[in-house]
Amino acid sequence: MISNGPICPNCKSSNLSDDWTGFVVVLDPSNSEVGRLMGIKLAGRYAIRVR
Amino acid sequence: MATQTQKTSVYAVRTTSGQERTVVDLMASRASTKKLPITAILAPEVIKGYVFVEAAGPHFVDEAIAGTRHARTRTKGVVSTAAIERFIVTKPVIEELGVGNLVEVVGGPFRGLKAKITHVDKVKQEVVIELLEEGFATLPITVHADYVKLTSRGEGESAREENS
Repeated sequence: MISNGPICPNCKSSNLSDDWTGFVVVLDPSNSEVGRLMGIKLAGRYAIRVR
Repeated sequence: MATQTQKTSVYAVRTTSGQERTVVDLMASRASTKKLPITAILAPEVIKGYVFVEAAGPHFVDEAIAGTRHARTRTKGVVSTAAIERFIVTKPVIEELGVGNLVEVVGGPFRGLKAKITHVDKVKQEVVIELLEEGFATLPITVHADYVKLTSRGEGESAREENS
């Protein structure tokens, strides 16, 4: 998940990376095929690939 | 009782090249404000000038792009889920690498240099490379697989791979 702060809003981890590509915003994970394919259960902004 | 899910399709929207993330953010905030049945918006890095919108119908996409800066037009038709899946389900880079492959280092102090893979460790997701540039001794360097980009298969498909 993309975070502007020092902690991931999804998993609360502080182990973050600024080297990422691809951008997805999931607005309604329960009805989203994209969200299902990515395994997203929480609405928010996500990166597709994180190094 | 099974949960009822809304039927959605994926539509492609042309954008100004380089502004894909801006368009995704603007469209997402517009969809939230207007309570449009848009479930996801994505901008894969490999497709320049397009974003993909998953919505209950094309007119909701048109409504979201109307007046949105850098968003141009919706392309006709829908994009199949299989096509989208290629962008969002990413295969680990290490799966594509083998001994003898020629790569370019894309991160760290050796960024931009060409190298040859001499060993692949799939468990640790690391490769051992030898730099091919002049002026560098042929010392083996271990780097994470994410920091190399395959440029050529080289001579070695018959890889000596550990833990494969």
